[in-house]
Parts: sequence; C-alpha cells; structure tokens
Amino acid sequence: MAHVHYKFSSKLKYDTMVFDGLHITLRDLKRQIMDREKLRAGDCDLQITNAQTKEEYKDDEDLISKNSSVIVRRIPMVGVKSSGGKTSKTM
Amino acid sequence: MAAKRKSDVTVPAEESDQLLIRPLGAGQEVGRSCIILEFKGRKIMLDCGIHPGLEGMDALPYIDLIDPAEIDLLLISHFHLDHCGALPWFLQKTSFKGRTFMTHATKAIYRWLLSDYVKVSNISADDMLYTETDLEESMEKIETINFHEVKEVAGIKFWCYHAGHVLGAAMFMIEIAGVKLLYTGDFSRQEDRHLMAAEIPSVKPDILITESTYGTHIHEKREEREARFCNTVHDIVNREGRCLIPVFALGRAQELLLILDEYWQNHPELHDIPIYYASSLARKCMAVYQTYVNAMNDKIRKAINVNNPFVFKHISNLKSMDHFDDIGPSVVMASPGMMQSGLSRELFESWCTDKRNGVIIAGYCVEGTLAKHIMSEPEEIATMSGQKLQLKMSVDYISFSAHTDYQQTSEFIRALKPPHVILVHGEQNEMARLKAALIREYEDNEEVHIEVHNPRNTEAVTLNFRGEKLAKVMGCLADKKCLQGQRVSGILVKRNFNYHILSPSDLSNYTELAMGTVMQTQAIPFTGPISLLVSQLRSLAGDVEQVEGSEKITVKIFKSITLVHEAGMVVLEWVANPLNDMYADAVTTVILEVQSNPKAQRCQSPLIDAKKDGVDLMMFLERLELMLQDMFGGDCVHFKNKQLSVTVDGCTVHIDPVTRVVVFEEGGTDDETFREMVDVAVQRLYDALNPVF
Repeated sequence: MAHVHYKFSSKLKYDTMVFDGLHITLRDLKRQIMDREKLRAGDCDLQITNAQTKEEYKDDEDLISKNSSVIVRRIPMVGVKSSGGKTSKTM
Repeated sequence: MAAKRKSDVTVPAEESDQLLIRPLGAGQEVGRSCIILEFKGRKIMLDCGIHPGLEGMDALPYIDLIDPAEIDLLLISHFHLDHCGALPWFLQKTSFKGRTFMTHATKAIYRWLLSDYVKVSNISADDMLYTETDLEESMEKIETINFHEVKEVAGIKFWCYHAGHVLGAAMFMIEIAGVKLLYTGDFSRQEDRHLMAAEIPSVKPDILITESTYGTHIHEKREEREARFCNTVHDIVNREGRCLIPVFALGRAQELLLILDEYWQNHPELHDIPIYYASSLARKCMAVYQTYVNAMNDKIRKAINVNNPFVFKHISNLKSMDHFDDIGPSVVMASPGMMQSGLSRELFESWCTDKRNGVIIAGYCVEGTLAKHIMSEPEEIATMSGQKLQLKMSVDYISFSAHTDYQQTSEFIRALKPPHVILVHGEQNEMARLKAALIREYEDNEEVHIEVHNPRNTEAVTLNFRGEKLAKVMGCLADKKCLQGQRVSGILVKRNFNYHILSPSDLSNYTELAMGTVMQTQAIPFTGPISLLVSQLRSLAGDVEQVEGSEKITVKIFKSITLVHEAGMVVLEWVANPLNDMYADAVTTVILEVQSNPKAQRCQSPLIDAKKDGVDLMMFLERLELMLQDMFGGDCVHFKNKQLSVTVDGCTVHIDPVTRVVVFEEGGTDDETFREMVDVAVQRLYDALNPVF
C-alpha cells in the first residue's frame, strides 16, 4: 500500500491518496484526486507541484514516487474542454 | 490590455508602480465573484462567492492561485451567494488572517441567506464546503461599515456608496497611495419600490471594476415590466393554474412581494387566491428588512412611519410543504431562485406536467441551473432523482434582477470617465459585446481616453501608476520660506503613504521617534610607558591635548577620542560616527604597536623631529644629486647656483629644489621623454622623504 500526501494550496491540511506500486503517473493521480474531491467541472484542471522542490510535474506520464508530498492547485483549463487534457498554464 | 512591464526584481513591492487586478472568479463568467487587487505590497480581495451552477469544490473561485495568509483586506459588496457564498469556507478553512468588511444589512442577511442555502443543498454533508457551525463562527470575524464611512486598514483607505440592486449592496471605493479604484459589485441606476438607485461618486476613480451582466441589452421600462409580471400571474391563476415564482428568501423577493400585494389590493376578484411566501426563515428575514430601513429609499422610509409596507395584507407565510394544501390556484414564491434543489424544485417537479400551471423566472439565471435550462423550452426535464418529466407548464422570464443595462452603464462611465475599465461578472459573449460598444463610444473622442479590459479567470491586468511623491516640511525647517532650487536636508519620515521632512531636533515633537547618541568605549591592555604612547600619538595625530583636572592621565586625540590611562590598560571613549570610528581604529593600532614592542620605537628619525613642516632642503638636494648620479652617470649631473642640472645626449634640464620644477635649458634640444623621466624621479624622491602628516 503506497501513499502520496496531497494538499490543496489554499487548504490547511494534507490528505492522503493510496495506490499500489512504487509510483503513480501524473494522469492517474490527477484523476484520483478529482474523483475524491468530486471535481467534475469540464473546464477545471489541476497543477501538481512537489512540496519540497517546488518543481511542477508537467507531463502526464511523469511518475510521482510513493511517500511524496505534493501541492495541488485548481486552475482553469484553456481550450480543450474534455477531461484528460494536457496541463496548460494560463497566467 | 495594458502593456506588461518586465518585473523589476530589485524594486520592492512597496515602492513599485505596478497595480495588478486578477479575477479568480467572475472573469468572463457570472458566479463566484472574487477579484484580487495588488498594489504597493497590499493585497485586497473583492467578494468571495460561489458558482450557483456548480457544486462542492468546483463552485469555488480559483483560490489556490493566491496565498490566503497574504490578503490584508476582504470587502464583500452584497449578500447574494455569488458574492459571499464562499465566505464561511474562506474564513474558517484557509489561512486567511486579514480583516473582512461589509455593510450592516449585508451581514445580517448573510447570516440567514447562507443558512437557508446550507439547508436546501441536497448534496451529502461530507461534500458541503461548510456547515451551519462554520457560518455561525464566521460571524465574529466580519466587521461592518456604514455607507460613506471612511475606514483605513494597513494604509488602504476605503468607503462605500449605495449600489441599489438589493438591500445593503455597496460599491467600494479604495484608495492606496493616491490611486483610487471603484468596485461596483452588482448595481442598478434605476430606483425601485424600496431601494434607491446607485449613487454616482463625487470622487473620480482611476480604475473602475464593473459588472457586465446585461452587456449591451436595454431593459424594458419599469412600468411595462411590472404590468407584464402582474398580467402573467393573473392569467395563470385565471386558468386555474398554480403560479410558481422561484426566488431566494431574501433579495428581489421583497420587491416582488410589494408589487403583488399592491396588485391584489387593487383587484378584489383575486382576494380568494392565496399568495404564499415559502421560507422557513421568512420571519427572521422580514425582521431584518424591517430593521434596515435606513438603507432603503426615501419613499419607503416615509411609508414606514404611516403603515409598515412589509406587513402584507394578502401574502401568507408557508413554513414548509407540510403546511401547504395544494387545492386550487395559488401563487407561491419559494427558494432557491434557480431551482437546483429545495422547495422551489419540489413544487416545480410536482406542477410541471400540468399545462395550466406556470413558472415565472424573475431573476438572472446562471448557466448550468435548471432555471436557465427551462428558458430554452425543452420537452422534458430531469428530476432530482433522475426521473424524466414532460414540461407542459408555461415558462415566462421577467427579470427583476436589478442589474445595470447598457444605457445605465454607459451613463455611469460617462459621469466618471475612468481611464481604465475592467469588466467582470458577465458571460463571455455579452462581455465582449459590451467591451466593443464602450470602445466604440470613445474611439473618436480626443479628450477622453478609456481602456477597457475583460480578463479571464486567473488572468491578470497589470497597470502602472506613477504617483507624485509629496513630502511636507515641518517644524523649524519650515520657519524660512523655501526658494526653488534651494537644498533642504533633514530626516524623511514615512507613515503609510505620507512623507514628512523634519530636522532631528523636531523628531520627538511630531513622531514617537527620539534622537539618541551612541558612545563607544574600548579598553586595551597596556603596560608600557604612557609617555612613549603619547609621543607616538603625537606623531600620528599631531593634535593631542592633555586634559587638565583629571586624576588619571587623560588625553584627547583628534579632538574626539578620549584616552584615559588606567592601571594596566588604556580606555578609549568616543561618540560613534564613521569619522571617529576611523580615528579610533588608528589610535588602537598605535597602542597595540607600542604595546607589542616598546623598545623598537625609541629611536626617532631626527628629520621628523626637527622639521615638522617638511623635508630639510640641504638633505633633499644631497639625496637628489646622489639619485640622479645613480640614474644617469656621475658626470651628467652638475650643481650650480642652488640648482641641479642633468645633461644627457646634448639635452639639459634644470631642477629647482624649492619648487621641484624641471625645465629645459635655453637653446638646447627639447627631449620631452627625458624631462618627464627626471620630473617623475624628483617627485618620487620628495614624496618618499616627506612625512605623511
């Protein structure tokens, strides 16, 4: 049972996501967090950054290793409305 | 859009000219209003609402893009859910620690409106953003402000004007470092039965952030609208139908109740037909309305003295469905306004299949809600449980939502002429049309130049404001009149954004600051003879005075360093400033040197002792002759008439020992390189022999 700790940037506490294996892909992690938090809006996306290094995970196939802590930010998706689109920065 | 200036990393936020406006919600949409304003290191949040067409976390503005702990001030314009629906969550569940302000009526109604919202939400308790308890606890963190009352928080000055729209709605004027910004929230320039029209501020803002809900539409006239409404209700009850009017318990409902009560009064044939105002909070809500009459218009304030118009003759309160006997035609006003859930949804579902019934949508509907959906007249609708029902009842849209229309917005902007206008709170297309129309209005205008922006959510608008800095000279510096070009020097005192120039002696008069001096004391172990030390110091400084009258040997060096000879050490004392510190360093070096080898210093150069003013002339000449003979050869150097001369390859130069000037001999060749060489050599020898002091 592997864990990844995630915290929304505006919230105060960390939550934990459980999965099998040593890593989880960025795409899977995003989908799981969106399911857990019931984020269903078609134009919402998540920006995931490593809590220690502050590096953003950009590619859907990026692997996040177990026991990491990540910061999650809800961001509006530009262009593509369907879920599973690539992360895009709008700022 | 204003051109983005490259961020200057070295300029601190406090001094920067950059002003940033970023909508985290209501940017090219309606719902979850939340606008961030950053200027001079201050961060302000305007409104904190939820999106009525979304649920759970989806309904929140994009708060993750800012750090709640950095927000200094939060201003709420009015009690509608899309402006304050996320406030309990923001206050209780994030790191926000700034101050929150709203008008008195807004705070009172916020309490009950959000309570109603929590009750009618049909999503499970875990998914709710906040509970009734969070709402109660948030109340003490909210501070209130009166209309036109000026408050100052963290150097930000702000006050508010009446906005119309709903009871207690305010337009906030914010001033930071002389730059003024007006946030309208939702406003209406038309007076209605109980509210006044939005005021036009007497102070002109530099930036206007305005709603654009109705874009380029023009509302129908008020009398026409009211007549259409009343006729539609009459028609529905005439054909034995039930008339459903979904509205929130507080807000436009009160205006509609006033209209219906008056209409029923004038139509005795309708007196048998009941009008119900369905809300479990109705009594509390009406009590609030009766309290805050001061925020209403003059007409109603006069009427209150005679006969309370909010005590209705033909309208009864309905606490819940259980109290409702659904027999015969009736008019029911129920919440919520967009029928996502709750009583209005239940009634809708039970009445929609009968074509005698009718629903009147009386307010603005947000995309994604059932109310918006039925306006497109679909064949069937889905119930809360997922069942499909035929939609046979009539659907009418008569908007009383009291938002500004194109005429009103245009007039408002014309009166204020703000150089920058930022559009928020409008659907993308409506907003784009409004932007184009406003630009068209002013494009041929030479004198007035207005830039219109319509940022998307999370997109920032960056503007630059270079303010003039004014510093007031006070106290004794102000005694004399200043002339242009005259230098004034003093201490610059900055308080928030006010600057004063004072002389140090006035500091305690005008501020809580006081002048102090720092004395430095240094004790250095010293066991050598004090007379040796004093003579060394004399050669260093020249300016060494014996201080009379003290028991221990005390000398003053450079007129500022006091040296006292104690047992086994010397103590230096001086007033700390860069010059004195440097002198003290030099004195300390001498002391340490004498301390480390007292014998080596004994033999003094007789040259230095004898002639304090400079080098002995004879000795200089002697040494100069020796040096030149070494450089050019013995027979090139001659000494005559108290002048030395050097001859090389036919070129002769004369050296005057007093002035040390090197000149060519008359009639000989002029070799400049040679002359320079001799000149440099003479100067160097002189400098080497000349003592520093």
